[in-house]
Amino acid sequence: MPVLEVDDVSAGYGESIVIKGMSLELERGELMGIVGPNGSGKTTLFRTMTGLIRPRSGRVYLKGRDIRFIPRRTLAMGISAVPQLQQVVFPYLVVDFILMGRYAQRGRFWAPDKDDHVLLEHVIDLLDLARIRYHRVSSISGGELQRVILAQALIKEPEIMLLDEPTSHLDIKHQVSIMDILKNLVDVRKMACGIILHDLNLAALYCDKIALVKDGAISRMGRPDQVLREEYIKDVYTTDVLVRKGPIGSKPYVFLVPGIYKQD
Amino acid sequence: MGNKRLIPALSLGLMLAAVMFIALLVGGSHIPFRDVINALLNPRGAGVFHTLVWDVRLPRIVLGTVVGAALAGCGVVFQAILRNPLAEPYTLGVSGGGALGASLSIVLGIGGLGMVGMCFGGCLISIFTVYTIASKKNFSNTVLILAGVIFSFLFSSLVMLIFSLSSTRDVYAAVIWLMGSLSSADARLVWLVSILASSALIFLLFFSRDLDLLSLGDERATYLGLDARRSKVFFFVLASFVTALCVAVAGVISFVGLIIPHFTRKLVGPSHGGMLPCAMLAGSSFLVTCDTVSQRLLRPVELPVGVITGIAGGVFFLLFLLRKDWWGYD
Repeated sequence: MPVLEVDDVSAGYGESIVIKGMSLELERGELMGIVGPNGSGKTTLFRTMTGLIRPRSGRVYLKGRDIRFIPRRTLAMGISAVPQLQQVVFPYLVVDFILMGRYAQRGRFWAPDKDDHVLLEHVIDLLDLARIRYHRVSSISGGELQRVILAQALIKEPEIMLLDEPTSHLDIKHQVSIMDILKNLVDVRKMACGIILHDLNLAALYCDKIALVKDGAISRMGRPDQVLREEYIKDVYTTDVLVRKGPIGSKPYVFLVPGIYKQD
Repeated sequence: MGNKRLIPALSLGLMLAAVMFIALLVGGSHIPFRDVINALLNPRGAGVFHTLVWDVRLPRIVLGTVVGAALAGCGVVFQAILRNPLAEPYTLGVSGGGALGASLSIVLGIGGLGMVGMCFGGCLISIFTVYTIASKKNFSNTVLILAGVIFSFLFSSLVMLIFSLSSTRDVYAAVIWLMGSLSSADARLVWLVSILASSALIFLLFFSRDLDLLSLGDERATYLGLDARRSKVFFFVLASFVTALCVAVAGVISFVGLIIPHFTRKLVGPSHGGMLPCAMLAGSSFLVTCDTVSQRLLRPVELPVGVITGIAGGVFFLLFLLRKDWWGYD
């Protein structure tokens, strides 16, 4: 049984419907990439999967339970969600900020105990944050902040992790390191992970399954080599690309075609 | 709470005790140290100093303590839930309604408790209006702030309209009231407001983790396990209600709710578990001090305490802001 199931969901904001009749399944030990052009409904899908917005029709199931009926804190224990990077206004210490991730488990009347600190050290290690642990979240770089936010999401030890463009502010070193960490959690701890990505090649390199989103619907779904094909990408993004077999793990590699080279 | 958090809170507590005691000694006139102690030790005693201590100074100091704590605490709450370091207790328009109510009652010649009631009613009307508008837009921060600003302007225009139609004497009285004062102090009213406001503030202290989460933004707070919308409404209503109590008894005392949260955040860090109680203690000390100064500065003329808080707060804040090691919002 999939741990997270989106079943024929339509959703949007106010009057407008952004996604129409979307269905997908996320299994344990699976890393799913969600790709598609700007405005195609990826973030709305993300917010529906996390339970932030109610579907207009259709259902989202967490391990078979309709998430509308799951209390917010229980839901937060099962699903760790990381929205797009947003500046933190107040200058919290990195360690205090990470420990806020324990709220779902521990509630509001709580002071961090030994268990929390063991988990804290673990995520600090995992995300290489020892150097900045006593820095202020308002004064670290975007890449560092993204890792701190990831640490806050991971300290919950979630079964499911959903991320909205977690690598978009990172340099290549940190892109790889974050994707490696997620891939490792998926393979070793059998976490289920859904990631919205802009970089098609990053998606090809790491994801077990890719959902290609177009105009609020899923246009293709499958292994990277089944989805990342020239004709599908051209159709969804309305731009020219070349797809070749890449040198690493024989995954497809998408080349962009700049206008000046298009005369043939 | 570890020692790290206890020390600033304890120091601020001691400071408040000292400030309150000094305020007993030097109010509008000086009372000898021994007589203050005597009066305090014999609640049922008599004499001029006794009356002065128990019926004049003490209610006023208690009111200053509670209002200072309330404004600072509500400032912390509004800055956190609106994720805006410029927010303060009056940002969402509470004071506008209060000012309208108070001006109306002055012009209509309603004094005493009636005026307090009208002022409080005005506050409640603006809270209710802003709430109704924001609830239609899912309590987004932008809508809350805009609704607050719109109603502040609307109400202050109505106050101006009332002023333009009334006599100079009424206008003068209303303007003095608007600047804030702790001297009105009907003793029973002081106790009533103090009990209500301080229980609300103590209640608030239990929710500091929710404030931590909300200050990260509604979406992130939701993903961390908080029902962000419900929690925001809870804080908005509770803090507005406490602010309304303050405005009704003490007028619009400016700046306390803006600078004290910043000062405390700098002192103990932004985590609300440590910061919220410290802000309340610091707010009390600050307001009681300013009130004492307002009585002493141009004696026997008593200045509106809002003027002192505004000047002291502004200068102090500016110096603070210009310091090199200011971390914060750059």
